[in-house]
Amino acid sequence: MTARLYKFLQGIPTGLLWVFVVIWTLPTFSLFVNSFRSKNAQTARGWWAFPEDDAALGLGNYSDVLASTSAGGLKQGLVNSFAIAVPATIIPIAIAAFAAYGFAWMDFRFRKGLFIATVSLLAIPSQVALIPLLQTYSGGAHFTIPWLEKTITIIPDMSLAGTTTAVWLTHTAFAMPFAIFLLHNYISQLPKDLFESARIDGADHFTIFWKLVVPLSIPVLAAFAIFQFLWTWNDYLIALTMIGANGANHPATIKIASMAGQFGAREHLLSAGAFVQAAVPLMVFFLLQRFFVRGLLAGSVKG
Amino acid sequence: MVGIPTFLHVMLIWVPAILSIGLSFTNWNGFKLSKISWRGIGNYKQIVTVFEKDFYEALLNNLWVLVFLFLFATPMGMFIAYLLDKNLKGTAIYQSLLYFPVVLSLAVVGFIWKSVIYSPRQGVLNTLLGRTDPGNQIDWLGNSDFVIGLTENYGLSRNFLALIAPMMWQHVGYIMVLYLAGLKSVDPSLREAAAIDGAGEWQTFRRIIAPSLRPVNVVIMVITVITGLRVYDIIDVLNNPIGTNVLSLLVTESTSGESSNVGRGSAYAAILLALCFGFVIWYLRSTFKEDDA
Repeated sequence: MTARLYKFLQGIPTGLLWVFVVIWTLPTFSLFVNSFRSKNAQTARGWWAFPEDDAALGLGNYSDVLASTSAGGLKQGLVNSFAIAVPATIIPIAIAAFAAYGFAWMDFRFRKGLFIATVSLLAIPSQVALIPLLQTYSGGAHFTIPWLEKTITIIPDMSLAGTTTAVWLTHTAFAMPFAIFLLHNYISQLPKDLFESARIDGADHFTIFWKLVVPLSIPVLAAFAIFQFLWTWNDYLIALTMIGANGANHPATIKIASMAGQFGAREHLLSAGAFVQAAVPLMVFFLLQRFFVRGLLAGSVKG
Repeated sequence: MVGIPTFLHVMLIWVPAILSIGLSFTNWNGFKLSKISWRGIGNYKQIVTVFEKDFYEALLNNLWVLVFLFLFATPMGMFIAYLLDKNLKGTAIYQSLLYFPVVLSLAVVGFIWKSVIYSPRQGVLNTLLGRTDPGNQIDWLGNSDFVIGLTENYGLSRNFLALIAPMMWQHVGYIMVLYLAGLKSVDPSLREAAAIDGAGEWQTFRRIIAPSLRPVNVVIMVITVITGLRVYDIIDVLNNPIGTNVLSLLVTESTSGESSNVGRGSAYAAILLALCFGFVIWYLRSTFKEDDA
């Protein structure tokens, strides 16, 4: 009797997990089924009724959504998404790794203050800076000294508004706090002796960084890269603000969102479109999952 | 080495954020710089008088997101991570399936839930409840009646609660992965020692595992708060149904369109900034205190 009870109790976690998994997978699975159904079928019945549909499941929606003319240019949207996400991933890593090393192992004035100023931006939502930023991108930044009536140009007009450059530049800046925070946690916990012996051997900071720090930090660099890529690929707000109405440069997320409008004429394509957009992050996730889980907290947890 | 990144985030975050505060005291339609005029605290006055309803509704909604994430999604993610950490069979599969939603864009998530779960005619919810006939359908995203009414005008509206659900759906997976990584890094010899000394499961968790997870908890805390204050995409994608205002939406809404007022939008941004900063200061104080100790 007790053995039976024990076995039952032992089975609870697995059972519970299955319940979670089923509930958690349901929305995505439903969308997946719907993406193969025709427009009429989708609007007539729920996804589970697909065996009763007039037309069988097919790839029609996918070919429609990827056709360059009809579907609001999702193809172009994917190209734009790459144009944003790739530089927005590589550039922050490159410069944040330098900074993290500097904050961790170099002595200079205001080190702690500067570090706090950087990391405190961690919780600042991008909305608070977007308006003046957009203004700067579209017209540059000028400062007029009132009593001299002289205007100084701090940042020239780069006509960046509406371009993908504006988007990845913004992503790069907003990635800094988290990147520096994460990399600093990791790099500052590398053994001190390592640096001291390298110093004695006459290595300068630059050599130490490239020969020691970078190779040792691969896991956390990879984790951040994955995180940042997913974040920028899926971004909607920053792209929408910076690109505005310039449809030619819209990334896939905006293209998909705009399919929902237009009086539902293309709403049936949304499910296929959503899966096309999600295919890239899913691939990234499943291929690099190991890195992601292990590396993301590599620095924050003393292990 | 520190120069470039510092320059970048000072120019692209600090300066614009401070400019936002500056602009919040002005009146400007956002087109001609020469049209800017000083307005003092006029925008703020306007927000708490003319736009009172929008503002408090948004503030409250942001707060609801935080409450629900903290009370339900975060503990749930932790609990699942704890179960997964026991090396059950198929951990990798559970983990992947539960993490799946995190990989999706919030813009896409909004649409998934709208079309599959909440659709009045063929959504999963109404079908399960048997309310798919026109006439007794439940309009999940359109009904802004209060589930929890605080006063006559403010509370948690039904449709906002319906929007919190997908946010939690994503958040659980996120927390799970972070927490799982934390659990995996707990020194196994500590656990063994506890087991030898005869510590029960709860005791082991409280005395051994929880203390070594403190850094993870800080990260989770930060992420939860950020998510709560940043909410935007999912609501914008669903065309901002009545009763679902959030602060970040007010920022963008008042700065675009015909009657745009960058001054007012900036005032909303400044308020958002103040909220975040309160949290940031608290967070930094607690982390740096630990460092010094």
